[in-house]
Amino acid sequence: MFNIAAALADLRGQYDFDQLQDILRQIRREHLAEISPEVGINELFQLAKQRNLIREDEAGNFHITVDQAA
Amino acid sequence: MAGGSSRPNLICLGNGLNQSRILGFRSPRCSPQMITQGNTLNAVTPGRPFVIRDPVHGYLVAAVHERALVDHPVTQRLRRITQTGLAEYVFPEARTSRFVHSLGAMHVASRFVLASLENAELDVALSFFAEIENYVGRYSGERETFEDLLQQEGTLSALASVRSSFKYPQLSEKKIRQLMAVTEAGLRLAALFHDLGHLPFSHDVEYALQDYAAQLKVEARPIPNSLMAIAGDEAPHEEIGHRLAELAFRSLGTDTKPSVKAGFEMATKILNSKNPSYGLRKKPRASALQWLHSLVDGEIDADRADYLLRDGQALGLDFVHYDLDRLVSNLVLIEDPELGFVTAVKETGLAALESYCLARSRSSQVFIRHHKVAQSAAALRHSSVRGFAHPLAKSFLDLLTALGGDGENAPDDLLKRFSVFDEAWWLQVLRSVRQEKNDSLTDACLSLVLERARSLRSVWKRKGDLTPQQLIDLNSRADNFFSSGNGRMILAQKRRQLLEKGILLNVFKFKPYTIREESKQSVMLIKGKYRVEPASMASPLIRNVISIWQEDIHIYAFVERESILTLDEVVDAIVKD
Repeated sequence: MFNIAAALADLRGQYDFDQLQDILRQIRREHLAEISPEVGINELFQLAKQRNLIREDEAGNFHITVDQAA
Repeated sequence: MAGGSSRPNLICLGNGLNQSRILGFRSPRCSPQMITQGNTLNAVTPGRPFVIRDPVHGYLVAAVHERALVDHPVTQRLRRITQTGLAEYVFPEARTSRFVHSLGAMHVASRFVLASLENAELDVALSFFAEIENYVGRYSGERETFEDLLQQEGTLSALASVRSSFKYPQLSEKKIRQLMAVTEAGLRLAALFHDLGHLPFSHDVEYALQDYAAQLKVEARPIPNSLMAIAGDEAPHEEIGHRLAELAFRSLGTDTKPSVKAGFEMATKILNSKNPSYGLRKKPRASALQWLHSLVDGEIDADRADYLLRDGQALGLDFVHYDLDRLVSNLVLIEDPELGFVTAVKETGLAALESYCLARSRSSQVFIRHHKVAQSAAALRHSSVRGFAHPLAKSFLDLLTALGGDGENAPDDLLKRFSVFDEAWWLQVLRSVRQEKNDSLTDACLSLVLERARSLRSVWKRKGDLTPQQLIDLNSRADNFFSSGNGRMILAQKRRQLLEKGILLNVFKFKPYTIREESKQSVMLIKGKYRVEPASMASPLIRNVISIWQEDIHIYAFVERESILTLDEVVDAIVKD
């Protein structure tokens, strides 16, 4: 089954929102067989946020903070 | 003034001759300059704006440069793409096309942008136009030519900017009027082309394309990266549409005036700019372009503003009507420190916004989530996956591969090839699928899609068919699919499990409006005399639309008519892991 932490593990770093959306879009393509078409990048974004895999700083940038072991 | 005449050309949608008589048009306008295209009359005289009689908005006017795009085969294809898929199997008059909807959205987009800027405070409007000036910077030496866009054709003009009436004198200066004109010109084209890439029958065949691509991946079969770039996208029709729009602008843009080229470029920028995602981020700080994008694809946008009225009228749903004029006249652009440029509604327009929200929610409830509409959609999606595997679909997949690639293809060739992939073509593909040996569920789906046979059964039709606990469990499951932990990841898996049992699923992720994650209030804003606040705080009615929605059914299941599966068994199969 698709594991978003594993998918983000190698992508730690700082991104602006557009870059983050592109990353999630690419992840979604790569895992198309496991992610239903109805589940879009907004849902992936919310999932990653809920799991503290990404956080938004005061400047509006996003940090992928996945433990390498994920 | 192009054409040198104040008399507009006329396109009458529907039965043009009869309508033109009813509407009192004199014969010179409908003949002898008219040629027949299907049941529509097109004026043949080039170089003038033209007028379209529309049952929703009255008269729509298209500028000369817009006409070349409206007449393009890739746009005309939208006449043969229905707005509401197979909803006509339940609501027989639901036959509105994406063509007329696109024209309507173009018309409404003009009204939205002009009203929002006319109502804006001076500093906000100046800040907006400063950004727009940057975007059209390379035309700085030619800005005078933007004046072309403001030329009025007699009593009619396509661009509402001609009639702009800013309360601040600084905004009536020539430079601002020119920037306003090019902004509006770009936004209108973005609205005209916002649905250009829709597949036949729109969303359900689009889901089928994604299901088909997923199936190829599961089976480890080769799929070109360029096809995956489109089929694997969240919204393939947007990806396709944006590429087609760029090709169309490129194909027409070689000998056009600088003002029109600037309009094409602005439209491309608006279409390609990312949605501001006001609800997802603490500080989206939407740019001017992103705000313009939100006027075509946002909370209060020209797309929705048009289709709610148009579909409501076609379906005979009087209760989805809302006061567009009052809503438009109260739109205002504001610049929020966190949200950036964002649309608000003046408090005097609150009642119109309330009816707009209700119209949207009720439309989804009564029309999109009608069990038979949902059933037809599920059947179309299921059988269309087989359609994409059929040899007849190869030419379409090849075209998507070409569109998704970076290779240089002749724009005219790609546009021309895309223009033939309409609903008649897709039905022919499905008829060919039917000639082959299929499993019984696929055959049942094809019978429904092709003949509206009563070959499928909705396991439940309305809330009363379920026990209160079953409704809670199902809606909890539907919510789980989209908004919690692993739920999002198991929908695809669950769909495959259910299919093995002969059960088709339709799950709705519609929400009445977007809620900001931080505040849990609506993204839509109300601008009062002293403060700006979320519409969900200002209006108990808007706040409670969410509660009404939460109590509806969000998930339906369908089986073959002769299936012996019971309601309890199907509910269990859905809710249990």
